[in-house]
Amino acid sequence: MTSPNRDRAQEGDSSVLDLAGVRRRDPEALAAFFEQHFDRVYALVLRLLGDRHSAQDAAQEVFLKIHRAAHTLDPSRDPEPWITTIAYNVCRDLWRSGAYRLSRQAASIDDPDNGDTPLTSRGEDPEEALIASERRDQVQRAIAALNEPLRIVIVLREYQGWSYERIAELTGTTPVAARKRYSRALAELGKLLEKVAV
Amino acid sequence: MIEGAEFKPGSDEARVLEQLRTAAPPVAGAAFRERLKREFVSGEFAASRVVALPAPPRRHRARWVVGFAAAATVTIVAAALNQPPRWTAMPSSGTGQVVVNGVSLPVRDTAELTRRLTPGSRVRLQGGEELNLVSSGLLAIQLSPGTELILPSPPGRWFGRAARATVDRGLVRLTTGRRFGGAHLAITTPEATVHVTGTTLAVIAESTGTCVCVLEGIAHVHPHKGTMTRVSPGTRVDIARGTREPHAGEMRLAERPKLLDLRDRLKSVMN
Repeated sequence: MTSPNRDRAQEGDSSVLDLAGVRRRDPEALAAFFEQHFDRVYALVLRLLGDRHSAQDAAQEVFLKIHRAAHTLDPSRDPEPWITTIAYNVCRDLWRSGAYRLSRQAASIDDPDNGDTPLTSRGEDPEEALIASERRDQVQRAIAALNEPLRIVIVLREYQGWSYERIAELTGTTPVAARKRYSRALAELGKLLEKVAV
Repeated sequence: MIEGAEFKPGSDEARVLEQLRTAAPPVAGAAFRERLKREFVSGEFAASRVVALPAPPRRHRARWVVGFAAAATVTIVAAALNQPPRWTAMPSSGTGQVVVNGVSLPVRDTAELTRRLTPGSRVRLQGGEELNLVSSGLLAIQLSPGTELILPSPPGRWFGRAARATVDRGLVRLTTGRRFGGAHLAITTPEATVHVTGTTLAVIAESTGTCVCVLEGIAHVHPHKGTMTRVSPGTRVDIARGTREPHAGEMRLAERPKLLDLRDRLKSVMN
């Protein structure tokens, strides 16, 4: 079994980014920064929140906060933990808001896609793309069905590649508790994936 | 180390992880992506739909603070209510002096005496008149001329119901009030400790030893170097200086009328 992964396809190399330019809010540096981090931010908030409308709102809020706080960015350090922390805090604020809870009650993740996701990439077999899309949705539905503490650990560990210590620090728990949650999350995901596959 | 202890998934977990890791990442719609990129680069964002929440109220902390404040208030109020009535010097027609913690005061100056007589005060009575001290409802003490003692703290209402006094020399008569029930007073003399749980008695510390005369109730006398003895009503116990064993007998004849007077006179004042 491989170690926890990140969204490797989306992973970039921060060293090539002009973080000093981001600090100055230079348009070109900001554009490059966005290109490098948007997909991971969007995937993170979607996995944490479970629906596209909330994910879009959250992604917008994350980039707004990054823009506002760009001058505090340390060019000598990888900005990924900083961005993930901002994204997590935005999601946490959403979870706590009554509007989010209402929207969760009103809208199911089984709702049809709003059509903004391309079904196929260029050159991809439509049938394979359909299967991949189906599998992705099943996984996403299962993750969304987890309770929030378990979902946070599984997303940060599996898709952000964070250590238990780092997850514990962010969520205000202990590394041991984070590890137990990860284990419980896997057990629950197993059941949920069986259920959504039926 | 958490990280050092590599997670070893079972077959079910491995299957789940495989599904998680092989699922394609979610992708945002191109239109949304382009719009947000434009906003990010220009810094001109459309109105945010995410309501920035104020910092969540620290309910747990507030509960702790409220709980702690309530507990502190209850403790302070209980401690205040638990305070026993202070010692009051009864009027005296004598001309002697009372030395309270080294300060000599006329026996007649009951107001000043009352102010200075606090638990733990060292009191020495000089002159030819007795001095009566009362803690309302709890204890009345009569000091004979020449007596030197350390004043006890009257027992509290609910807790702190054990008190301690020391009689270095002289004669102390004592009667307990109706609110003394359940409390305990230990009177230490050079030869013994007298345990009082509700009684009228005299403790006489003389140069030859200690004598305890009990009019009512029961007292227990524990010589510093011997075994405890129970003293019944109408009897006395003598502990001669330098001996281990107490000596029992009828109470001193002179003490009976004095103790009866103390009981009848001060109990009516005290209760």
